[in-house]
Amino acid sequence: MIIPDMSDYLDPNNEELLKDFYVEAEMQVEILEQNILVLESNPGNMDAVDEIFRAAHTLKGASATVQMNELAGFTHIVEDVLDEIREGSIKVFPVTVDILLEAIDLIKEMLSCRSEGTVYDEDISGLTGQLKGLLDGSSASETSSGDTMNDTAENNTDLTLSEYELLELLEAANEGEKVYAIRVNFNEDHPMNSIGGIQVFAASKSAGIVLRTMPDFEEIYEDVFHPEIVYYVSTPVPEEELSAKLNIPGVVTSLSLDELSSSSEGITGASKTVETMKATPGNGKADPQIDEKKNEAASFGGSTESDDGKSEKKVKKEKELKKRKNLGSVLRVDSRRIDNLLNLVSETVITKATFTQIGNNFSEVEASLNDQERLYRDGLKRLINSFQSYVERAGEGLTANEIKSEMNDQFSDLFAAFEESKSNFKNTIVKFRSTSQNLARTTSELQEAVMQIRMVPISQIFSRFPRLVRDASKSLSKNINLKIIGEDTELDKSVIEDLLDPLIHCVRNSVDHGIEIPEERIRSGKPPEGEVILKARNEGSLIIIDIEDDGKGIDVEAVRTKAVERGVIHPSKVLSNVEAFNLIFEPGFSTAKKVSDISGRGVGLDVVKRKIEKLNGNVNVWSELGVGSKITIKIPLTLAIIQALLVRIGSEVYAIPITSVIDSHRIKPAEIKLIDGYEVIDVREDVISLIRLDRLFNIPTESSSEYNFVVIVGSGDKKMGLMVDSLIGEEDVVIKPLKDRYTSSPGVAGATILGDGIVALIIDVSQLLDLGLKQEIENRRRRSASIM
Amino acid sequence: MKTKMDFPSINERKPEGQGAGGEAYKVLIVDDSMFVKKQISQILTSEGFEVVGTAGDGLEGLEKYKELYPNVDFVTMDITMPKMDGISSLEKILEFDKDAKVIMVSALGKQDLVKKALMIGAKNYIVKPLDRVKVLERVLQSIK
Repeated sequence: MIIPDMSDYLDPNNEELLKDFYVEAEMQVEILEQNILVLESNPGNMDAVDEIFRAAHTLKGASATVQMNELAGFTHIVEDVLDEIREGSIKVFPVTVDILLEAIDLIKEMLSCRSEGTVYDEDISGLTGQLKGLLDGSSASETSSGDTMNDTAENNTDLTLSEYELLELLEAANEGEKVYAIRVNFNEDHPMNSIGGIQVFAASKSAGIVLRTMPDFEEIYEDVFHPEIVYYVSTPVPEEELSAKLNIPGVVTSLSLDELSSSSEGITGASKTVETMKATPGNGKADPQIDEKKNEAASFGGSTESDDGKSEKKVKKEKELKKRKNLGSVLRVDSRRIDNLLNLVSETVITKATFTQIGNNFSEVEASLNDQERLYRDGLKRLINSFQSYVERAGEGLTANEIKSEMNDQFSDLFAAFEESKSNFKNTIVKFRSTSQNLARTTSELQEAVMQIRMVPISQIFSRFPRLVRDASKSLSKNINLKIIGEDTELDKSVIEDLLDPLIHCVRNSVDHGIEIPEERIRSGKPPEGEVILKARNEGSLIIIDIEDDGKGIDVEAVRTKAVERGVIHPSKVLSNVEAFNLIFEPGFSTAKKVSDISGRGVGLDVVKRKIEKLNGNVNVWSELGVGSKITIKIPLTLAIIQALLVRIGSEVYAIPITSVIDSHRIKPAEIKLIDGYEVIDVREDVISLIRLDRLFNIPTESSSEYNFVVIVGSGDKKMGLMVDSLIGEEDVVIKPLKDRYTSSPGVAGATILGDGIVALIIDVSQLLDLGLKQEIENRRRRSASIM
Repeated sequence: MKTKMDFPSINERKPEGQGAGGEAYKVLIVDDSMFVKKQISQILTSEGFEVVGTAGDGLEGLEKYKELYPNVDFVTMDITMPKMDGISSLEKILEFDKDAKVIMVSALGKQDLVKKALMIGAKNYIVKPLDRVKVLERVLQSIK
């Protein structure tokens, strides 16, 4: 039989199951959050309620399975509340939504604690009190339904049948069937112990006719546990079989069958036999002690926590958010994409077969060529050998023409000696070319298909923003409507993960600094409700994300004052708008007058810029005072393959990401001017400083050539010319990261292998700009030191 | 079988999930939770059952059952599911095949629904959180 032991399938350390659990739990939490927000804007949306309920339900079941009892217990309470909402006995007020959202946050925290191997152990009685407050408020008459404990029927009904009733029963029985009184005792400790009665009823029904039960069927059907039930069953099934059928392991503790006959006595039911054992079923139901006051306060709404506690919590939450990223990630892929991939792979396999065949063809050609060569040589030998006899015969009076025609007859086959191989060879080459063309097509499609697999819709991160904006606007008492456009836009999974933080910063920035409070908006003639638009779209191999708001815009003067104050710019510098906008990305720059916990600590936009540049992207700002501002983020769709400009320096080949290349020039050494000891060139109206990559990377070159090439690169407002020996061309390159400390070095983003097997380093432009800048500052310091 | 003669059997016990002739019992798992689906199938396959299909909601479950019929021995059916809940699905399956063996899978606290299902004709029920021993016990009891 089955070993009655703790099974390995319930082992909380079952890695694979746990992984699935987390994936699913996260999905459910997301569904919960999204739909609660839907509910907030439209309290009558029953679909949303159903969705919420189902998600909570699934989450509860799953967490109980993996024995996360604190989670299961808490989710259970949430589920109860949702059930009441579904039934309409709890109305959805804003305060209800707040409590529910708080509950979801708690669930998230519990999950993240678990994923780190710890158990959430903080006091949750405040929140459970609020939730229970909702339940209690729903209706006084209703018991807190759905709880796992069922009331035990305290007073068992007398399970006795009168003689008259007995006769009635016997009459109702089918002809030739026996009537049994089946006395069944039930196990109270079995989960959902009130079902047993029905289960046995159903089983009896399948065996024959259930004439009667004691207590009545209606009572059995109630959600009350009956320790003992007597069933009167008329059945053709023999006694043993019947008993086996009804003796349900785990549910039935004991069972006795008595055949009834008209002579038999009334059966007295031994009532109150089973000792009521109030053992808690092992689902770990949270049973917190809630003091009355707290409960009351909670039911009136309003969180009982202090603000301090809240911000502390927030910091912690962010920390946890970061930690969770370290978990192995799971990718869900549309199966059609996999099918497509398989299709392409099978095409490659066919192509491989064709190549093998072509290989065989080539060896055939080679073999026949060898044969023909031998024949040809024989022919030549014959020709040479015949020469003597021809000379002799010429001496005998044979004319040259006669000799010629005779030779033609004899050796004409030499002309066609290679014809066959030639045509074979030609055919094979044609086939080879077309096959390799096929291969090229399939590989590029394959590449695209693999990329496609890594593509996920940006809605994965956009979906977090409604909540974020809601919470932030609430705490700032602003009225903000978030509009999300283009959430189906897809981009590489690795990019999307690194995009979340910058986007959060930008959106928070808009919410906090951009949108004004309603009064101020009305004063400036705007609708009281502010709007933040989050928009994603594709443009070529780039993805463009706009974070737009209709707030107060960037005050160029304020930025200027601040910049001068911080010593970022010289007081006399004339600042263009664009330059001012770019200043807000400088570290330590915030024009917010007051630091709030949402943004304004001065850590933010510079981080955004750094992170986006790490993704090979760039950030731009547009703003109009009083109208609003817009941050535009451009990033490549994927990080694994980039388009690069290949350049040669000495004998080395370097790749420069095409996204950061502005243009390239061919210059004569004479065009290089020196300003302040720096090499610069004039490009149209601009003066661009030069970096000689050969010097930077220490590559020996013979720069004796007449021309040099300069590739102008830039990110943001910084530009710089990279001097190289020659340009090779544009190519898609696959980035291989250089991560260990021996090979990673500043200015290099990675390496790639070119078609001919040469390894080329990929230049990290933004780092190089910094590097150049640093060098510049270092040199300036040194120079000024020498002047002193 | 030859292999059995070649190797001494270290496990005399016949897998529970196989019938008298050694053929595997075929199961269709209907559950909207991927996690539960996987768990049930792990438990059952470990005992030699064969999972011939899975479905994510009641409607799909019904379709799958019709598609698989008669090559399916029993069904595990979640109760709370999108599109069509487990009870309606159970009803429909029984309409289609009155001898269908359907075992309900329910979370704690859903007594009324389980009772309803049993009365309609579900063969048995399993309570989540799933316990390997219980699951096997109940499944075997229902199909034998």
